[in-house]
Amino acid sequence: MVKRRFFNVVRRALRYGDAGVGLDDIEELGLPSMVHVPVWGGQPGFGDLKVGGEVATGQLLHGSDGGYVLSPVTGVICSVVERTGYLGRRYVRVSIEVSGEDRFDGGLVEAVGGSDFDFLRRHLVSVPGKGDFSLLVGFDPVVNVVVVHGMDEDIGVVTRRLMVQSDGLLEGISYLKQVVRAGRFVLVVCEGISGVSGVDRVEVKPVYPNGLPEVLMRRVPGLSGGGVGFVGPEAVLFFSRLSEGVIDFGKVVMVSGGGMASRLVKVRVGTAVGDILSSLGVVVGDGDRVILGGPMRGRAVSDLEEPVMWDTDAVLVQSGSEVIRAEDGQCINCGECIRVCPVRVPVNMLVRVLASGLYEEAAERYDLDSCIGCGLCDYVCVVRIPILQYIMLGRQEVMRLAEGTNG
Amino acid sequence: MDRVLTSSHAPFWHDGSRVSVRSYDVVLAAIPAVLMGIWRYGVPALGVVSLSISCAMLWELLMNVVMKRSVSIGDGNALVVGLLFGMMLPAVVPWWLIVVGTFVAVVVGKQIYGGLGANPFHPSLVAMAIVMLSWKALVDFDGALVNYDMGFCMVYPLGAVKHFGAAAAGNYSMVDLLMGRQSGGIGAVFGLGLIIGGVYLILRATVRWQIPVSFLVGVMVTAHIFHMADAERYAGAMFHVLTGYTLLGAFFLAPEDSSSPVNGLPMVIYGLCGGILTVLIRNLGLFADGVVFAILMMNVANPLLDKLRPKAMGRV
Ligand code: SF4
Ligand code: SF4
Repeated sequence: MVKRRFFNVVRRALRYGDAGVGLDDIEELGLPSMVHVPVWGGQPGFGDLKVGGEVATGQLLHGSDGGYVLSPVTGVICSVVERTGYLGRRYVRVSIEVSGEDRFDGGLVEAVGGSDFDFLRRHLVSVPGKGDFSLLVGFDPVVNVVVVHGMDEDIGVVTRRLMVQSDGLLEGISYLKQVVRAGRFVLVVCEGISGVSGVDRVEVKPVYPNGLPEVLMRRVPGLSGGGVGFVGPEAVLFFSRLSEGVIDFGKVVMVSGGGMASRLVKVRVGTAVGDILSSLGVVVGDGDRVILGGPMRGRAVSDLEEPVMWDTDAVLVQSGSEVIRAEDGQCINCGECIRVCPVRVPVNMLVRVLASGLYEEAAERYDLDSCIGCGLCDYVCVVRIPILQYIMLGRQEVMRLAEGTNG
Repeated sequence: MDRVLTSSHAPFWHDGSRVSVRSYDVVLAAIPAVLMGIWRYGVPALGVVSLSISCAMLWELLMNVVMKRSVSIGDGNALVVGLLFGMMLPAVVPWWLIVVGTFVAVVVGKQIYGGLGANPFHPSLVAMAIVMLSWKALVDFDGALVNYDMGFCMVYPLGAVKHFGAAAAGNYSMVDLLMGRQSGGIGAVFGLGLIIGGVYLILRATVRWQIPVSFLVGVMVTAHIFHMADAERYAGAMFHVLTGYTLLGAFFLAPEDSSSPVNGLPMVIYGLCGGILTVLIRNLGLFADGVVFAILMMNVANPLLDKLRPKAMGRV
């Protein structure tokens, strides 16, 4: 955890930092006995979401109303339950008992062999490095620029910065170009990352929050007009493997905290975070915090069965003693948040109106919608107000109110 | 699997800052000035400061109980409010004035608005203003300190120039003013100590530097203009900076979090206007020192000023 400096009149930039691991350190973990995948907008018992159904690796699992994912393993569906996710979003969690070695979905392999890009487009939903392909292949609205996002979003995470230096990136990009008919591909990397030439490339300073798509959209020339889609380097590598006829649902995840040096593991998408931690010998105790993602933007899990998803780049373990809890004080107007907010949200005022439940006022007068969710205001708040949580809840309420008036 | 994990919303890091640390920082920064005051004025000064601090904390505790809020003594703000009030007082004041003053500061100046963060004025200044308006004679430095003779000019410098014109400023050397050899509030006379404390607070980023800097610029420029216009009547810029509550106001009173702006331009306007008003009151108004009322007036303007903020990015 980066602490405030004693003399802080010039604030220290939060650099993305190094983790002391490289591409050669990736440890491949074996197939888990079970994986879990979420299907948004599905219903248990509908479509393919039935207990007992057999699935092949890469097979589409349809929900009822449009939601579907690709199965990351070969096995048998052993449970389908409805769950509530972040901010009350409902989804169906499909658990698949892994039956052994991969049997690839026939249609997908055939399409790849015969270069049937239309099939691929219809088939594509989620691959490692990109949790949702629907906007990129849906062509509505048309995506003009695809950004291969080779920068990590969160502090201390190195996964994407390493993966963008893997072999096969260029091949992957040219394959992806045929699937996604975007006009332009841009590769975004941190300053000083070597290799990767032969593609339109932009270097960005490795200082948080520069890696957030919202920041890149504003900073990188040509991205501010809209029609931009982001994919992680692993999605590109997935296509490079696909062009060789291999369907690879492995996801590289950086595991850190819990008193150990950072490690890189490659696991199957859908592997429970508890399985990963126990195979690395990390013991999680009462009061500890397990986070999918990084320290600023991750999501704390309440249950170790929570799976690593297509875009989970890191797992962070915090021991109970490291946890700094939010407190319920009121804003003292110290202005620290104003000093750090990258988009100049008047956080001091915003947090006051949100705390009083004045969501519409927050949106109209205090720039609730401009917030890019970097969490910096929350990180520096001297009162330790859970500002980001207030903001996210506020946004959800504003959306709900808008839906209520429109419908 | 009955492990209970800690679950909460991102972010999961915090830079470790907290309100009490800020309060103790202010106290630490004030210590040189307070010690010098106590050394110069002796036990009575120690008594005033101690009583002021303890009364402020007791009022805070009492209000916590009465208003059924969580006990907020721990955030150190009552300590700061009591200390700053004590620093503005002369070394000799009746005890009941301190009891009443701290009541005004903590209860009227802060708690009835909803506690720290909701106070529109600096609580210590509210108290000082009430005291100056109600019991002017008791906080008149020449009257209160009449029994002191410490080997330097014991006439309150701002009072002297008010009555006898700029020539009176010649009785005070800059070094004396810097080293606390002047009459005034317990914690307001040691210019050098206040500057050191103020610079410390700025470096720590406990105080937003724009406010003290622009406040001092406001004082200096205005005093200089007056001095240029009529050097007989009006003392020069440095005299105004080193006397009265100017330095205490610049570093400790004007930048109070809740009652001052946080955006760039508003902070500068707030400080500048505070400094200008200070000298206007001193040179043209009824009171010898204008710091208390100048900052209170700017506290009033604060919410309006802070509306002058840059547009958020991505907003049309
Ligand atoms: S999370 Fe806070 S600091 Fe970051 S953009 Fe939103 S309001 Fe600004
Ligand atoms: S950092 Fe926290 S206490 Fe300070 S102004 Fe922002 S919200 Fe208020």
